[in-house]
Amino acid sequence: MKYISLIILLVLSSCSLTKTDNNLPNIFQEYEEALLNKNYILSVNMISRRNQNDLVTNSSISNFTEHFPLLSSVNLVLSKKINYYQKIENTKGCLTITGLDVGAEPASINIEFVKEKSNWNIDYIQVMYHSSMSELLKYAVCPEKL
Amino acid sequence: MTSRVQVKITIAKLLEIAYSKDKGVTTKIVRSKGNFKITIDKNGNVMLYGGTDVLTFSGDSALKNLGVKIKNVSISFSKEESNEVKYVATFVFSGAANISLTGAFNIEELITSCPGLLCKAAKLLKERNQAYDAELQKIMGH
Repeated sequence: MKYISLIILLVLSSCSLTKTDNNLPNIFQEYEEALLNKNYILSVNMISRRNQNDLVTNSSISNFTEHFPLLSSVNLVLSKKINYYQKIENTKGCLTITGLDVGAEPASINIEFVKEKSNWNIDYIQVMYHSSMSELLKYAVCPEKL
Repeated sequence: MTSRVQVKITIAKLLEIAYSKDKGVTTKIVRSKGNFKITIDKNGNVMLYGGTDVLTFSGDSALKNLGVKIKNVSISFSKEESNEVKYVATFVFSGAANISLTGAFNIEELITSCPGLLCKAAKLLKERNQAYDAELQKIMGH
């Protein structure tokens, strides 16, 4: 069953229209829309192979939201987006989005993408809740993987 | 999504559990001149330390407020003027994500004055209510 899930993901990985662009904000927007529409097959298709393997090995695609609680709800962090910054180095891309959270306080999201077979897939997410607007990031920062 | 408020309340509750576990050591650590730190492992084991003092306890009851499984947590507290304590917290979750948070609170208001909030809370640990959470939220800067 796990192999079948993995094969479905591999087939679907060619379906996304924007994943091959180097425009990380557009790719993230597509990911957010997939989450908003509860299209978790597409959402899973947009995360890295490492995360997909983790999901199908230790859980299942139907448990995406439980297995990746933050990755599957990152669209709810910012109620207002202020700026997007991106940087790309070879097969690694980082996107920083600054804005205001649901309490209208400053927050940033740092997302690391990895290029896999010409697609940019989401590998890691860091949410930063700041205590003042001056702490908002002004350039792309890769999440610190801890 | 784990919100800013949930994280702040969790930090306050961790200090509260420490206080209820050992008022003397906790007060000594948080009132001492130097900075102090909290670390938590994937099993929910908490270590509060500052200077030569260390307090360990289970943080499960505070962490369940987050609603997600943690891999580890690190919170560094630094003393500022007029009883203000600033902190930088990083909560690493299972599932390729972490949340970091900066904030500040008044240590006297939170923990050292008895009957302060945590002093009362230590006695009423099992009688939680929304008003109590709201009060913690207010002290932690919301």
